[in-house]
Amino acid sequence: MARTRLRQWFAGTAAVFAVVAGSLALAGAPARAAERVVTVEPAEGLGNQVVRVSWSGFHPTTDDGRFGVLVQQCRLDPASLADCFVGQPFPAVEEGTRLVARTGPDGEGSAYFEVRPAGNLPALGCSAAQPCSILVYENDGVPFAPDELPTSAVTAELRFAPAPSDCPPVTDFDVRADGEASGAGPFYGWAAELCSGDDPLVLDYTETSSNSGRENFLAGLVDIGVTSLPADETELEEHPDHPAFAYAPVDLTALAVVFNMRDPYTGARIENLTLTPRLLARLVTNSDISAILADAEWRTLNPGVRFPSISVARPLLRAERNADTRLVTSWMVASEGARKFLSGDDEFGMAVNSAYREYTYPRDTFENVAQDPEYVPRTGQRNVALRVFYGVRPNGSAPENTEETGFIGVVDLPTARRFGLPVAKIVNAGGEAVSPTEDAILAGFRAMREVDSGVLAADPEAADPEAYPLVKVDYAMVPTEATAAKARDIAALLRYVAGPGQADLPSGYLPLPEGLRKQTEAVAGSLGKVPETTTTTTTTVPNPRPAAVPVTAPVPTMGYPGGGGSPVASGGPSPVTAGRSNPRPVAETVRIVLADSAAARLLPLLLGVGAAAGVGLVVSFAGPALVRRRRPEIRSVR
Amino acid sequence: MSAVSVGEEAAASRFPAAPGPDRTGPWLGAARAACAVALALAVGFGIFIGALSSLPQGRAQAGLERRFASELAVGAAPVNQPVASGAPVALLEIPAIGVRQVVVEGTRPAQLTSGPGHLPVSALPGQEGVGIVFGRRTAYGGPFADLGRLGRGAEIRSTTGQGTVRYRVVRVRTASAADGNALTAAGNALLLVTSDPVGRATRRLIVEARPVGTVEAAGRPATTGVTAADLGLSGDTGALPALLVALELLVLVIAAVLLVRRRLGGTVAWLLGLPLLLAGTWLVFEQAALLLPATL
Repeated sequence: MARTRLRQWFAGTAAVFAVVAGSLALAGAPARAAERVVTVEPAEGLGNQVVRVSWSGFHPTTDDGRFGVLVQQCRLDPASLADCFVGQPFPAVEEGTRLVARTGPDGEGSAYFEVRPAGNLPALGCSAAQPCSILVYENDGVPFAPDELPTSAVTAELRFAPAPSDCPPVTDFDVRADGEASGAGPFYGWAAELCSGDDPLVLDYTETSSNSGRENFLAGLVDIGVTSLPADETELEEHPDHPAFAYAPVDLTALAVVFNMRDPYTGARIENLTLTPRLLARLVTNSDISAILADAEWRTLNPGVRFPSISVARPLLRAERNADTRLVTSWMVASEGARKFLSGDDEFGMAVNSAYREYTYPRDTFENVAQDPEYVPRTGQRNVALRVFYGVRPNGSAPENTEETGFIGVVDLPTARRFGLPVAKIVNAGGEAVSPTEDAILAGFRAMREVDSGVLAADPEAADPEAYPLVKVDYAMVPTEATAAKARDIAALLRYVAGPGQADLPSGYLPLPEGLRKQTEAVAGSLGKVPETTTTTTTTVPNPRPAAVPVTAPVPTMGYPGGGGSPVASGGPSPVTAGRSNPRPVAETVRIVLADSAAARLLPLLLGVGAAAGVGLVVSFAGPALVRRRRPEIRSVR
Repeated sequence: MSAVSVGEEAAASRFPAAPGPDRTGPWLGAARAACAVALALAVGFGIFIGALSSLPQGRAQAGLERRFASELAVGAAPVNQPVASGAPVALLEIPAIGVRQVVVEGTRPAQLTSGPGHLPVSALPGQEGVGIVFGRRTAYGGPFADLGRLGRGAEIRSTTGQGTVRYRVVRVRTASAADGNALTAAGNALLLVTSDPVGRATRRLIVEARPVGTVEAAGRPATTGVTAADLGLSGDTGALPALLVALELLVLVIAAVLLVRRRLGGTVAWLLGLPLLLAGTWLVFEQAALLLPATL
């Protein structure tokens, strides 16, 4: 008997250990298999912009499209696809975005995706207070209920920057501003920052153009007009009773020639393109653009690059009158090569479109002089950038394959950064191809000349080989004789702009150099002899401010000698460090890799085995006992 | 379950049916024994995770605190990477939930058994950048058990070789295991990370805190990368061989106890065998716990 019991116990124990070891081996095996992960970059401080969405651990997409990947923007922790926006991205621009992409053979993939805050996608209402998410899933053919997410869905959180829409509702604005598109980014940020607190300053900004800003300010329709170029004589004469005003610098930025093309062999995005004023002139004058990839200068400047297999679409340009267009065309015609091309005497033998032969630059607008139905300048910076990003022709309505057709457009640098668009190098008057890096923009800034009292504009002929020629400073035109209340509000705004406001600008802007900050502060100080303005200057700035910009190079202040050459252009390598103290790179590299949830299943599994064993034990004792008790009953019935 | 039936069949074939005095078939007896052992192990493991594992953690903390105090006293506390895995790097205090723990280097399950662990590629707590500390929610004392109860503004103090830096909680959130951005933050921050929900560990619970005042200078950064095993929701499959050895040891002990019981009787067998059984079981539980998510 004892021997039998011993054998039973031993067999039972062995069986349990076999089960435990087996289940551990099973649980250990899938632990090595990759789980799905999705990463968004950047994921913080977002606005309406393009982010890079990367995923890993997915099934490679097959040639017939199985396991294709869908990317869309959703509410935080979506319960079903009803919490997401699934409209096609273009042209249904009001419906949110959805993207179809592919996963590579290694199970990883990435895509550039446009995310939208509440202002551009009210249905989701994403904002600083209401984070949203990116949802990525693959088309694996597994059906899912309408109130559930697909089984392969994974999400990553999107954290948005404060925007004016996060401000408390108001009936009236303290300061209304209108104007330059590149002023909108900083002004929206400042408005969101200043609208709360003990003594809020409620600021409204309408993004239009420099021309519109000047016009509306001179007509007295707004308190502040924001412009990159000073008002000219004609504009001042049209408004003889315009308010007296001063120019206060608010931001330093640049313009960019952006493009969207892919290598037809690998499908990879082309990141490098170099253009000259002459090539830009060929684009904007619509001179046989479909053959521009064969242009001798284009090929010389971009050797070895495999451009789209068919051609380049008509350029994406802004239609409305604006300062950016004037700056770009001023730079364009300052070049001898471009001038010769425009006059029909091209050194590469290319004829200018005959419709543009009598047409002169610089101008405030790009016009379709040749009546080409495909050459359609679009209104608004965002509309231009969106078409370049999605690869939609100026007159088109649907995205095209950028392996076949290339897209080139002109926007400002912040917009290029926002939409993640590659920026072309441009050849400056010094003969060098330059990118709009911080150093190049500062070199271009040092070469700027004074074009009106207290207003700097880019010098298209700046000889510094390091200078990026398409730089610009946005100025606020502020009334110098306003009511006391208005003057106090505007002075407070300008002090904030010249101080804390420069600390946290979006990508594509440089903090104002010291000379320009002083100018803004001087304008603020002169407004209506304001006695006390400590109220709003104490607005809390949440992040510790980076140390004041250590500008050690001589920065041009107002009043150049004659406005010709730059006093510091020969200053050698720039010791000016732009003051955005970047957090340590390590802070941004901690990305989740290959999530592993197999371990999470182990404890429930082991406890489940235990519970089953407990039930088994009870049954093994209770079962025979029940059977034994029932037998006599059966007999008695018989 | 299939493995159970295989075991039962093996037992049944090796021990042909012989009418026992208790009139139960031998396979029923074996099944009963199997259930009893499995139940005991499962219940024991649950108790180990929920309660007993806090004992070695407390002991490890006491040793770490002595060691860290002496390192602070002589200025030998680490401020640069690389730091040896398992070495103390900071003292973390959260008064609101009564946490006072020495943070060790490394976030694998083995390191989190002795206290909260610092992710080596992140900044050290108190330094410029984003510092990330993982801790357990339930097992091994569950130092981060009450992290979810922290409110906005709660104070967190971190003491390292560079001094004490105070943080304020700005956000408590959960993130799915697949959220690749869950552990990112802009500027200077301290992220305390544990698992969610309690006992399931399928998501991350993240407390984001911002420094009050200035932070210390950044040290030399780590050159190593991050793998899934470092990020709190994975087990350490490297513990599997050790667990199998521990299981075999336990089988041998049980066999020995059963043999001794047959020869010398129950009392002697239990007297001799119980300490060995407990030690073997403990060893098995310790190794098994390493397979569970690191922040469980």
